[in-house]
Amino acid sequence: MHPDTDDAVDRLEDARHVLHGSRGDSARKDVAYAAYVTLIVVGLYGFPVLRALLVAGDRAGMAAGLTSPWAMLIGALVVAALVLVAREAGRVRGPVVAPVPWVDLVVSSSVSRWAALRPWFGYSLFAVLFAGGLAGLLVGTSLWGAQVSGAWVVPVAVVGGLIVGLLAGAAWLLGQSRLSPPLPPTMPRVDEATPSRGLIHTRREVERLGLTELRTQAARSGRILGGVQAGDLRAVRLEAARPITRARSARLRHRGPVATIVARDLLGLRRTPTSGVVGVLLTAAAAGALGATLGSSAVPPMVGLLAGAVSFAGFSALSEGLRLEADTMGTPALFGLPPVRAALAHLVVPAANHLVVTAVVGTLSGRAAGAGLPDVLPWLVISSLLLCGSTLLAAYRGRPPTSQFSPVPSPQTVLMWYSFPALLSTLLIGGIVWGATHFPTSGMFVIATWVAPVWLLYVGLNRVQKENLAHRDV
Amino acid sequence: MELRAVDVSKVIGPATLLAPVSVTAPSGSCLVLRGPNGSGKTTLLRILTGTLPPSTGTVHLDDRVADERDPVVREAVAALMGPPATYRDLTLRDHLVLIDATWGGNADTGDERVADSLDALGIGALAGRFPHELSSGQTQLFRLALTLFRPSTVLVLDEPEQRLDTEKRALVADLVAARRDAGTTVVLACHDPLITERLTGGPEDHVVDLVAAEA
Repeated sequence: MHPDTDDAVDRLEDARHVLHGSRGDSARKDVAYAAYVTLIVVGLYGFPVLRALLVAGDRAGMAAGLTSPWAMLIGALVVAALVLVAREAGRVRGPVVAPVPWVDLVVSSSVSRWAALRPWFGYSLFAVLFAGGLAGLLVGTSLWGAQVSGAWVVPVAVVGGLIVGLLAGAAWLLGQSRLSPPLPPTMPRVDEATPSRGLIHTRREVERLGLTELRTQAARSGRILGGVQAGDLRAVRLEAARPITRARSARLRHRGPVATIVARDLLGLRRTPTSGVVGVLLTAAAAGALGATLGSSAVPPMVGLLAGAVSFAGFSALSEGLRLEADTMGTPALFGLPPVRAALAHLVVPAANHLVVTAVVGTLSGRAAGAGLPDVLPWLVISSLLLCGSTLLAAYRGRPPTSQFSPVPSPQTVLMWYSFPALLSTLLIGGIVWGATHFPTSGMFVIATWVAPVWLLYVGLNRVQKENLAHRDV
Repeated sequence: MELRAVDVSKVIGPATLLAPVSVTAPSGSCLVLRGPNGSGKTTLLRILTGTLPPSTGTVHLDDRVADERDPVVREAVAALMGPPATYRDLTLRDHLVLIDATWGGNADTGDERVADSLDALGIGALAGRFPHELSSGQTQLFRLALTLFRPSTVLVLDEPEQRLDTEKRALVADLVAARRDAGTTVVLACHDPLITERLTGGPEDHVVDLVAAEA
């Protein structure tokens, strides 16, 4: 049925009226409200923080580098990575995700798929353009505000952001639509009169979306959203993860309790090599920044803080085994190793990886910045130890806290509860790096830096034991 | 080990999940719980395994209070109540190897025992698959394999017949009966007459019919 015929339009209007009554669908208002809130948050926090970061840095160097070929190359690489990530995201949750009942009752009918799904495509198109434009505006105004560049950078950055948003959106849609087989040649094309405009023929890609894939993604999206709201990170992780099929012939060998768990984690990384590569790359990037911050006073301390956050992400990418072990809390015991020992065994692979990469890359970076080995290495080792504790806290964080007045945790509570381990380790690593560059010989500071990881590891292991005991219902 | 519950019940707010009931499963016997939906079978199983404290009454495993926080109780009780958390990056075979290693099984005979365990449930040919590559019935057999493979003296199963065809139900009944005959105390909630009949042939085996609470 042609979407523009009066009959099709009437049928869709009828369906919307049945679902939402005379007030109509509130999705458009919800999207506008989300954009409004994002705009305020970026204006209030994003701009001042980014501007301050730029002001603290080498502005003359940045101004010179902004138009250099290297900046262009790095920019192109970042855009390419973003497009790849967007395409991959489309395979999990694409831009065209309508509610399950709408998919089951309306999209499955003879009404044109484009007409039935157009609103959700529109919301996503708005979202990628808004996000791209806003990111461009943020970067442009921050560069201008920090006097790194002239006012010309603002419109350039906004237009660039819009283009990147559009590219990412196209890749996002392709990631989703290519899950379905091509449209049959016998299917009439209602749009032959309107030639393809832009990067891809969006309408054709939306029409290609199969009912099964639409339903799968709609249901998955609902479960991910529910998992996020309820703080059920296992559900979110498992929904978002791609099924594993690699290295099937590789076998786990019995090598005693602890060694088998270590071998399990290595086998897990072999079967999900992307996690391993991402973990090592993030760790190496963070180590390079930490080494440079420790080795040169010209590097602003804020870089050390950011490196702490990236380092946590790197360690976390290598710690899937620990998270899977934490998932077993609250289920009848299958494994014989006590939970604390099992958790420690699961830390071996990420900690060893992180320690080696951080020590090597961080030391080289520090030496390149002019620092000696003793000025850099101890703090890098401490950062790895700190991350052992905070990753334990993250893996065994349990459920978000509730109060007697509110049995359902608020979004702010869930956000704080979720980000606490990352924030804690970031602040500790950033603080230690700052202290190491300002009073490295202070006895109190040195003692504190060694006590901190031991304390965090103790708190993490205590958390494991608590989760092991506390899940018994009352 | 003898599993003994005396006057246990569970009440949450205005809802009675389990009316007071007493049950005993002597060592090496089988206790089958039956009853309509909502009669409290799963609640009673959770109380018996020590994962849910009763509102009234007591549960003992020999002379110890049945509380899964007690390592001795965790070591004794293997339970299949709902889906266990499996590793998405391990094959079926790898799961059993990991279980064997963490319970200190003999490494030299591990591969053989793992293969035998999967074969016994008719899923030996699926040893190299990942959990997400199984049908719902195969998934249930895999869950049973995990539960049966870990060492235990008390075996608790909540409707093990779920999603299984008639042949596989008989297979599971035979495997559980063999465990009982070897001295394991078995408690299960079951709606299947075939499994119930197969597992209640011994002198100390018995069936308890639970009745739904009024409110």
